[in-house]
Amino acid sequence: MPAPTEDPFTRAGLPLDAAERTRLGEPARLLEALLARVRDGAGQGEPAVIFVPPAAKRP
Amino acid sequence: MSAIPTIAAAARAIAARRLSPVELIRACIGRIEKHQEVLHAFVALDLERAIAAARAAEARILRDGPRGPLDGIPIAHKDIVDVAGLPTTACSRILAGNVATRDAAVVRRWAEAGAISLGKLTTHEFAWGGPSFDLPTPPARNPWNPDHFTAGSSSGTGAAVASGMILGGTGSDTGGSIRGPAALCGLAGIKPTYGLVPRTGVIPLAWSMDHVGPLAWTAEDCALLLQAAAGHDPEDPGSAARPAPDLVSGLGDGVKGLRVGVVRHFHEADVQVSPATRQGIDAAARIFADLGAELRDVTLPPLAEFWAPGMTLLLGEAFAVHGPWLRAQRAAYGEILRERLLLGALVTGEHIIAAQRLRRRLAGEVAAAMREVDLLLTAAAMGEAPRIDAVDPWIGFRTPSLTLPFNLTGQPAMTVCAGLGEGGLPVAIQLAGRPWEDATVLRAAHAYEQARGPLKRPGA
Repeated sequence: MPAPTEDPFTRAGLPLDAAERTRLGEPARLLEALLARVRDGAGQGEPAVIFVPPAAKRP
Repeated sequence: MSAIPTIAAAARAIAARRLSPVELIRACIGRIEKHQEVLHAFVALDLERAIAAARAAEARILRDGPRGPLDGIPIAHKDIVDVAGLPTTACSRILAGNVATRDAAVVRRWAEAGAISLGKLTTHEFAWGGPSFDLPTPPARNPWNPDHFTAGSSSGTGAAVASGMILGGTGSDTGGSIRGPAALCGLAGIKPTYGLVPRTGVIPLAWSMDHVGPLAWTAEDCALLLQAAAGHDPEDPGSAARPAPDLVSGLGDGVKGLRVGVVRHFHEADVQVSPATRQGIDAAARIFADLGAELRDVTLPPLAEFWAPGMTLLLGEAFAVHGPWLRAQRAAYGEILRERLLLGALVTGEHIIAAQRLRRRLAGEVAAAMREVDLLLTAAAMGEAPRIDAVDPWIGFRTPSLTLPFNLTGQPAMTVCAGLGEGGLPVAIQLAGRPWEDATVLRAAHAYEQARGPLKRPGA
């Protein structure tokens, strides 16, 4: 098994060059803040509806 | 023809045989010839076919009368919407040479109603990255002042309708891409209830938040266009299997007795809109009260609570759409979209599921608030259009969106022009209704426009 990489861009098959890494630094920090808010915002008891049962009526 | 009419006015004139579809098409082509070089609203023109269609419509209408209010009406489609025989490029090098082989559902439905397409309209790259100056075609510019932004991503539709090149057109709205250009270009534009208009033949951005809808000069025109586009299509798994509601016959019923909730904290606390935008919302509230509606303030979760899951889902789903292209031909994207999409690598499965759980909670909280009111009133944009060369490409990552909440909840939401601000550019209000009550939103928007009075087109 190949060694897992810590870098999410490389893991996704999209390694960044140095210039991209610099330009994306601040936007990535902004996004990380939003993602942290999402991860922390959903309580453990919050139900998830990812797939609507086929018999259910929309909406 | 001195002035480009609304769809409703043109339909009446065509039905009364006071206006020829050929004359109307030629007037719109005249506007294209006059403004396209500066506004860049179109990326592909289909004028010979349009003129032939107008001639055929004229003969048919003289013989049989019009099919309905869209018969002979000049429209056009955003360049993520397939029109058979024309390129669909999403204004991206990624799709260079891609020619559609069949019509999108909305294209087919409008054509069956007699609308005549003049071509394909500029979009931000794949309906998200813009304004970009490194794409095969330049960004659309605002007809009120070409140095200014149209907003996006339905930028060409906004520019083309405002300048009278067409009477209405398609937009798509994943986070505000119909309502933003409608706001900054002084138009009406509706993001319908999720599931009302099929997305078949439309390039996706984020499947769970993508909506297709119209932009036009008035709410009445939006109602006519939306009516023709609405209804189930089994080819779109997000299309609701229920009959399309009647969006038109109650349009003139007014707002007497409707309860309008002003979501004041959205535009006064969660973000700070311009003074003219705030005045426009206050004036709209007074108009609704004068027309017999009941006004009250409503508190919803703060904009930031919608923003975080909304951006997570948008980015995560867009990354799923574009991942293969990014890996194969990353350099072909414009810089803005490429860099936004790359950030999708930071979104994990845990984030997506958490965002969906938050989404369900937020939709429930909005639904609970809307048991007490029939409509929500707030801002559609922060203010007038900024200069096109001064748009922060990361603004969506810095500041909560006024439009994104209703993409998360799936309820109908509409922009209507509230006049001009201090800079001489349009400002707007946003109205939102309960899911499947698009007709109520359109009725209220129409009543507001009637009371507000007509607006002159830019340059008129």
